[in-house]
Amino acid sequence: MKRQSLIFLVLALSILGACNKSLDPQVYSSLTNANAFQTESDAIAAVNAVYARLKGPSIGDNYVYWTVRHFALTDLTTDIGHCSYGGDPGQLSLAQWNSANGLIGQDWQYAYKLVSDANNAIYNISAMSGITEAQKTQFLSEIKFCRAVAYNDLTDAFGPVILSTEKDLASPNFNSQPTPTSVETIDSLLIGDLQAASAALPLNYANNAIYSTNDIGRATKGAALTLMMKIYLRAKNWQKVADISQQIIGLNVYSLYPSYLGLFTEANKWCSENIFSVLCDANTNGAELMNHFGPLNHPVVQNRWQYYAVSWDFWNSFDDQDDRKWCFYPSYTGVDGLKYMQGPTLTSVAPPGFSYMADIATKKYADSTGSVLSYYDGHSVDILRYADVLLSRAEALNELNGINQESVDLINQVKGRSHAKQLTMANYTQSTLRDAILQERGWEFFYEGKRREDLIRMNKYDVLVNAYLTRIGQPAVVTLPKNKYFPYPLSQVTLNPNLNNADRQ
Amino acid sequence: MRTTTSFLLYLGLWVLASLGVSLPTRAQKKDVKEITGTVTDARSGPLAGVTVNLKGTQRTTVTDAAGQFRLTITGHNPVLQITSVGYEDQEIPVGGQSRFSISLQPSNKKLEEVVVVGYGTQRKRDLTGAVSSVNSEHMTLGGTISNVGQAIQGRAAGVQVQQADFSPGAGMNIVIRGGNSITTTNQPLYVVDGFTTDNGSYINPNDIEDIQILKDASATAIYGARGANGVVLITTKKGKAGKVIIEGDASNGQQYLTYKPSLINGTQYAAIQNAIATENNTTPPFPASFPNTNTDWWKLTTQNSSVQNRTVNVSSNDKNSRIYVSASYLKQIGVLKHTDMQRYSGRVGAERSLNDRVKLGANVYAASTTSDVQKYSGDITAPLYSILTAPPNIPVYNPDGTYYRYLGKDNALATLMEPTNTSVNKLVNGNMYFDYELIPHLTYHISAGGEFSQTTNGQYIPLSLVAGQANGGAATEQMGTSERWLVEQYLTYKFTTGSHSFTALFGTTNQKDLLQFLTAGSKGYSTDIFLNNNLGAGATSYPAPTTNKQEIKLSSFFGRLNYAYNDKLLATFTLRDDISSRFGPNFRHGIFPSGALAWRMTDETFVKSLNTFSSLKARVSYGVTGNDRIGNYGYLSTFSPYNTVLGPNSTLSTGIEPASLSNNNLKWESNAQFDFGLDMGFAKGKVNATIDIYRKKTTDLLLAVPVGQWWGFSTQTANAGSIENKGIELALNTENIRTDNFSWNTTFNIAYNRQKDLTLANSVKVISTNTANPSGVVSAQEFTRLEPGKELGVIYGYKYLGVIKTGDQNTAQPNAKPGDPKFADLNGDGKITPDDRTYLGNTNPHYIAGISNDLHYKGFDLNIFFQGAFGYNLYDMNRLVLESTTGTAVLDRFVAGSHENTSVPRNGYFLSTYGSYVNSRFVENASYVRLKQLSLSYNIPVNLIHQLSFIDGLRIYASAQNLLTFTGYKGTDPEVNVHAAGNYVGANPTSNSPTVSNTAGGLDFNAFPSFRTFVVGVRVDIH
Repeated sequence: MKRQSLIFLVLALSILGACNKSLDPQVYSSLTNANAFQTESDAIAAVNAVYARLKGPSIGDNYVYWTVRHFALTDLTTDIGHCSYGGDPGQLSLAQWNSANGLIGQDWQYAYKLVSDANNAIYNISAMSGITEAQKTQFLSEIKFCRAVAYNDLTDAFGPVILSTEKDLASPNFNSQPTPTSVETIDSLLIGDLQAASAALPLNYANNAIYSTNDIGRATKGAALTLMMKIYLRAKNWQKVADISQQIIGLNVYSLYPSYLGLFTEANKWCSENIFSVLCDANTNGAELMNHFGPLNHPVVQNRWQYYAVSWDFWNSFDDQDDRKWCFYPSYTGVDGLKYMQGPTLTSVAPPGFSYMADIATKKYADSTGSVLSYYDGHSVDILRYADVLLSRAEALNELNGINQESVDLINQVKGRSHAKQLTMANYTQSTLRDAILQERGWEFFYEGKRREDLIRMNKYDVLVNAYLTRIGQPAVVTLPKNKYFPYPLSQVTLNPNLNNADRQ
Repeated sequence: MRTTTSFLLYLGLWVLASLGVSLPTRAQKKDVKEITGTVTDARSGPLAGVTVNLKGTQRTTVTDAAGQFRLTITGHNPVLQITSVGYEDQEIPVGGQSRFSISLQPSNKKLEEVVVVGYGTQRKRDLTGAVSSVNSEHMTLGGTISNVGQAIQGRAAGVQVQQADFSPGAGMNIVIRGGNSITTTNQPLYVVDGFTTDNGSYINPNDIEDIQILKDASATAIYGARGANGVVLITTKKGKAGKVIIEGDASNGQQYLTYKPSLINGTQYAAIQNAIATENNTTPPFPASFPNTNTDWWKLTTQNSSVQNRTVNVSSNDKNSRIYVSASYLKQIGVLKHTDMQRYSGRVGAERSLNDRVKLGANVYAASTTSDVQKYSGDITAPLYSILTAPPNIPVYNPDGTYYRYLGKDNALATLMEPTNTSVNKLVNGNMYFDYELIPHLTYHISAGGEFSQTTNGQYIPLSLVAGQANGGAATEQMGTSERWLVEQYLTYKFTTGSHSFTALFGTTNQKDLLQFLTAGSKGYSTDIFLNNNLGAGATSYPAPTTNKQEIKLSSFFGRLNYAYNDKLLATFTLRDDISSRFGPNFRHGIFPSGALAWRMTDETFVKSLNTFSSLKARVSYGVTGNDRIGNYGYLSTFSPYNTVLGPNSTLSTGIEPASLSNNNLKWESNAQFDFGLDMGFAKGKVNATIDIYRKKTTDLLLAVPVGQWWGFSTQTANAGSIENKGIELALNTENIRTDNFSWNTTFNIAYNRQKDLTLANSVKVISTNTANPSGVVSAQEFTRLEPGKELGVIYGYKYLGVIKTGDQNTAQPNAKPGDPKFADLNGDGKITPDDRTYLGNTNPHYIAGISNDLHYKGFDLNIFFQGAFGYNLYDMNRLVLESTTGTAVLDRFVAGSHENTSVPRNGYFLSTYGSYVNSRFVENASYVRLKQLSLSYNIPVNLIHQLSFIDGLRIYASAQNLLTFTGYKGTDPEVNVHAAGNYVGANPTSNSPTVSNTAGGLDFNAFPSFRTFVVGVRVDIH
């Protein structure tokens, strides 16, 4: 009897130790660093995610960074953009922001998300042995281009920022409190990266050895050159701007799209004027551009919010003959039967049958031929386009040589496409042409993420924005240099006291 | 796979069981004799279910309904031990007798109770740890009570239960002795009939026999890595002694809203919005031709509603077996429309002694819960937000009967009523166990079980809504399943030499969890009829389908030694070694020891000479427990997809990016706890008190350490920081009056907990959490802050001084307009900056208490139960939002020149550069006392009617829940907290880091409205 029990005991004890021998969990649905970077297509996936970070996720909440919210910083804070919803965009719209403003915080967060993905991809792809050197160079060039876009945006918004690169990943110290790096130092890194990228990247991806489809969303030689030109433009290195813009023109691949309104339709995802764009498809990775930009109670573009709108003040500055004036919804009969239009004054009360709008919606990302019936839309957002090359060259030549015919011609080339009134050189000096270029850039690039950088580069941010605020009956609060850069987001300042907002708003 | 595993488990148990059965009986011919007897109570009534044991053996039987027993006895000088809960033990030498008539005396039953402890049972008098017991008689049941948390709220000292969300079927926030952890969950571990489960709080509370809440390390350390937050041991009913009893219970209740926001009407709203626009120099939004209506959105979306409970259970008990079968139905209609919940549940519990040495048992629970879910988070997408802020001047419907839309968005009623959003949870839990006495005093126990929980969320957005119209109807189906397989084995050896008695336990557990998640959806429907039930009928698959699967493994070894000297000195030592797959190979093991001593001083002469105590026990314990409840795979660098369109056609290009900031040095969070307790009885046991003081220190916290966003993430999980909780608890039970016809008992508990963060991670000075977005255009802002020296969840913001009046010189807020809020310049630097913020109030109660009075007079029973929490604040974000939109406070807003004597600033807090909407104005003291339950029942004396003699009891009852609340708090309810961590339901398969925000307490925003419930019911017992 005892023996039987003891046998049972031994049996029991042997069961005790027998289970769950390996406690390494099976990883079913994620890649780990043991298997994530093996093949060419692994590397391509890492590259693709960096591009993907220019916009929100492919499903839901697709309004971050270049698909909408970036414009809160670049355009709402100027004499062009207007938001009548109050809150964070309202603060920016009236130049009343502070470091807790969520839109400022988000732009920082998502630009750095791209930087971080880029750093990870560079770090991991550099170490790969399963791809050719040519492939590696191509991938690294694309990634570094995207990273340069993000750093360019970050330095526009915040000036000196934390410079984080792939080098920090070898032995990361997540609790470090780095000091911001000067814009000049960051610029020189970006210029180096973009120079290498412009040498390595193809003009386009038709019949490419690596990518099987003509991937129009990828960085090209022209894109690298144009971004490099933009960085020199900000640094006011006019000669470089002149040289590189000439080089881009000389590539002979870009030209102005014949119709301004046509350029921005949802159907026109990519054309000869596009140098680098964020692509969306309404059904696969749609953006919420139309929701935010579309008109209120409009009979065709229904159920939109007119959130990122344009001030009447700006719209009224267009000539009637300028096609660009009609890239808006100035008046229409709404779904409620009311006539929507501009009031005689900002505070006028509309008579029966009318509704006066506080601001005006643009068609730029909300054209009535687009996905008017779907929640998400597929408008491309042009980060770099050819008109910018032309106007930047005009500006550089004006700065280098004073008033000159080529600058005027370049401006007229852009105007001409929209049937706007042409400039005559005789009517301008270097200084007034500079103002004309600034105004032209406003008319041409509203809500393309360029207005604030242009005003600051031309040192007109305080003058023009204050004048605008005064015209709309708001306090003229902009002062330079206090408002040149946004305050670092409060949450980041709390973490890293080296991000100092003492001289910022 | 699943069926194979369970089949093998069954097979294994069968083999074990048959082994036990086939063993020859050890009875020897010599000295064998059969005896019989009857056990009665003091009034000579038969006592069923009394245990009759042959002393020194496992030979045991139980009396039947007539109080009779039969037992075969062996050995020299045999002695019978007669034990029954509630009666004094007796020992009777058998001698030459073969027929016994035994009368039991009622005892002071509190000390004789046998309670469930981890991996075993103990006499309550032998406990060395701090354990709170709540039995079914002392739970809040019926009405809208659907989970364990509701049933025990206020019933156990030091167990803070917060109904953070009043929606039907919502989980409760349960924290024992203050939160140990900053980032991971502070919810306790649930063990139901020996099975460790994350769904423990959701079982039907009516099936529960009793609950033991293990609080100190001596009690919890046997659960090692998962014991740090306390352990809730739930024992389900196994049937009453003696006979077959059928119990039926039916009740109906009605719920009445207790929260009603004060809102303005349409005319007022239009006038104010126009006036605000004019003041801000912008276009008035409601011109004369706007079709003004007065719509009461609150009235349209809420209702007084019903709740129904139906329960039947059958139980039976004979000397070898016990069985309990129950079926139950609960249906609660939400006071917010379209939030109904219904649950069917069933349980079978059975146990059978196959022979003297072998016992087999099993428990099976199955439930199906269906809810119309809405979002109740502090989120502007929650229906409460759209209801509270709905413009009252817009109509509900267009003339053609379709829903009216304003500014391109659906109105509040459409948003609430039109979408289908049904959540169905199916939960099955089965475990079986087998006890076998290998040699005298050495028992082998094996239990094996599985749990399967599946939650399916089906959503359909019909064509009547903006999003539905845009997509042509959109359906999604999300299914999350979790499986757990658990095998536990242990050996228990008891031996006594002289005055020393020992119980040794050694065991092991192996657990494996599988989590799976599946989503699919489509859009473009020709009809709304399919809802989410025919995804194939949609034109386009959208969103793209996703699946995710994760695995967690846990292996443990544990041991315990209980030692008693002369029944006077008691000692317990435990040790557990846990090995968890959540940590990297180098840090997988966690060793958790504990020790406790207790001294039963009742019989010491110096205690006796005091003439004060009828019983007295002092306990002291110290031990270390752990916490592994972080996301899975955290130690591995993982990558997840992030796709975009890059090509000329619309196909997605696949991308991958890092899924988190991994940390291959992750290890256990450990919690060291010291406890000193006194169990005291006074006045011949009529007054019993337990006092415990404790100090807990948690180190190597599994902390989401904030990192700069240049790393691509906002946090990294690391072991960093430490936190301390100190407190004192008092539980008191008194028998105030006891006569033949009248009795009055009181139970009271109160606890004080003081929490202090000691350290955070290197170079991390503070950890902040944000509010929810107060509107679509205003971001969440920093709202609570944690730094060393502070407790979790302290509100951090500006100090509000009032409104800037016309002509005020306020240089600290340059460019401020009259009517802007004015903040205190706390650092005196002459301007308002984020450095002027300060701590505005804690949000976790410092004191919690409950008092229950049970009065019995003849057939009447009255229970009056108050429960409360004290010394904390809530941030009333509803008030913030309402005072610039639709609340009556907007009528009192500052208007330059005409209405300046007010504290309500112009148009909210969002326009000014200075300060923030997080300020002292919306921080309110939330201390409360609540009459949680008032119930009266009457036992109809049916036994007087001969024809109804088959009815044992017929009871009618009426009760009110949340009848009265005494509080100064003006918001939704003093208990709400939309940031509450909620119960831990396994790691969310979709996320690598389950979001738990213990640091963000006390946010009242868009919470489900509170209500009171009246219930009447009838309960009948039939034999």
